[in-house]
Amino acid sequence: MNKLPRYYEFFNHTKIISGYKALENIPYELELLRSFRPMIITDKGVKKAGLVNTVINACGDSDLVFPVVFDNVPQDSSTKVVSQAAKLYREKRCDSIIAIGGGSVIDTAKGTNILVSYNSDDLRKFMGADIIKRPLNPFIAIPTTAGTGSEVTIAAVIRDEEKGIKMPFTSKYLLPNVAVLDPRMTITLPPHISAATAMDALTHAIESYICLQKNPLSDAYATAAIRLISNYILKVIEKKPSKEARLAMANAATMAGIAFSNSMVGMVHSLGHALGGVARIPHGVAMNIFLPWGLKENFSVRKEIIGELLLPFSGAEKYSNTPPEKRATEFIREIRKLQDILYEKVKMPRTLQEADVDKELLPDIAKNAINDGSLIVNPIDLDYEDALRILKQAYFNSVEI
Amino acid sequence: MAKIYSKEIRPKPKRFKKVVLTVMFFVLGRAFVFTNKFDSSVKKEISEWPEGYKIIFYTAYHGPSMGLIKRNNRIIRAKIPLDNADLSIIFKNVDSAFLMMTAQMGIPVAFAEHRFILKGESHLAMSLIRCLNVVQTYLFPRIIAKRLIRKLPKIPWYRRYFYRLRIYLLTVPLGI
Ligand SMILES: [Fe+2]
Repeated sequence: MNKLPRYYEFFNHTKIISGYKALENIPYELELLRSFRPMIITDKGVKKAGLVNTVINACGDSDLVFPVVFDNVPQDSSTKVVSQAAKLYREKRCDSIIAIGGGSVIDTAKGTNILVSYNSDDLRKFMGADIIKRPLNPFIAIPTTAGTGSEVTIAAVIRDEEKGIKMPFTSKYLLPNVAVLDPRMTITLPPHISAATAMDALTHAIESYICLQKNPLSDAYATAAIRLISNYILKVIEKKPSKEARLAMANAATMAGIAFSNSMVGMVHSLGHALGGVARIPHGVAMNIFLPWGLKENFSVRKEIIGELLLPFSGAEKYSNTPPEKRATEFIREIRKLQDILYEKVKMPRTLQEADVDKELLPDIAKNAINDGSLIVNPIDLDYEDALRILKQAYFNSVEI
Repeated sequence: MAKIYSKEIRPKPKRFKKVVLTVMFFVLGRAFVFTNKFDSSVKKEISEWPEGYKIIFYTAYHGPSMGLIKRNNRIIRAKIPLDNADLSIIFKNVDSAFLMMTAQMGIPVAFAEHRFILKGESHLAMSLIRCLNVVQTYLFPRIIAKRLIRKLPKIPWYRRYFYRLRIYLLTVPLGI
């Protein structure tokens, strides 16, 4: 049974506005924040897809002025790009930020907001936890991928180009003031991307539920997210997914984001970050490959908790028809079933081999994985040999249970 | 009109816990420095840190602290100002540091319970934790170490016993 943790913390202050004509409320929300000159931060893909125009048009007939659209954000946010954005913000006398995009766009916006609010040029000074000690400038996030959950997390990761390391920033002040979930924003996602981002969101929810920092509030968000994802994931990868399905996935990603912002993620992310860094495998695909392994490895200490997830994932009937001691394995089996369908429909890789990862890279990936901070709250610890063993197993096979 | 006699109330300092903390930081620091000399896994971890890398364990506010610095490929204890460290482990209060430094709480649980925060270049934090796991395995009997560390480093029992004795008899009191 679920016990209250001896001690926990939970924080989320982002106002979430979701659904039909949500974008149209941006001028009103900005007025509440006393802002009228928002800088738009986005990337080329989002702009090309016309999403920036959708946002600007939705804000018509208001007092808003958009002094500049910064669309230079690359795949991985970096200090250089953040500095560029901050410089433009000051030149154009902006008073707030609207981020339109995925994780790296929103992280770039968070970094930019630190610099412009503190009137600084050096992000390094703010690296780490709780270094930012006062509210930043007004900031609205509009996610376009339904995956990362960055619109509701207290963290940002930005690459230090000089040192070649990833700088983590965590502060409650990095949370956007408002997150806008509008089905128009995920309309252009191709099915295989929808599938990958959905698996990322699912992994956030599952890892936040089984890792050491779990708490009753993060659990509530996590299970709600899992329920939505399991109901809508196959609908959202159809050729023309319905508005309902897209909005449901955007909501699920946000809920999973709130969950893991407060209870962290574990070894699936450690392995996934390493795989992304070394072999350039997209984050969601990496999550899909390692999720069953994360569940299997944590089985020995988290069996009961993993078993509880069968209820939100497969529904009450399946849950009550499965004996308690079999629920954890059944849950993993259900995840595997979903993965087979995703493979069949959008060719989402289930093994490292299916993802075309070079076998020579495995030792490097293992070394990076055990140095990834996500490992700290994973129920079991991994050493180098463990990580390498899992990678070798994940190379050819999916989990056998 | 009723008179209100007000006097500022200052909560009492936690002197006893601070003394214990100071001692425990000293023990941990000396044990760490010594373990770095004989344990190959710790040696390997430290060899990958940049020369001059500075770590501080600090107790808010103005409480006991412990500084470590890498010099000549070895960890040594040193006084490090808080602003000067590459990586700071900052305990939020005396009680949090006390729980962890008296072996009542392991690092993962302390992290999950927000008992400390990391500031600075945290990409070596996992390496530091692996080193601390080894040091704690030498310092504490298995029954305690098992509660603190999720996966105990593989060290044969005679080695653990020998170095534990060595650490408490020579390293801690004499620094050798
Ligand atoms: Fe993720």
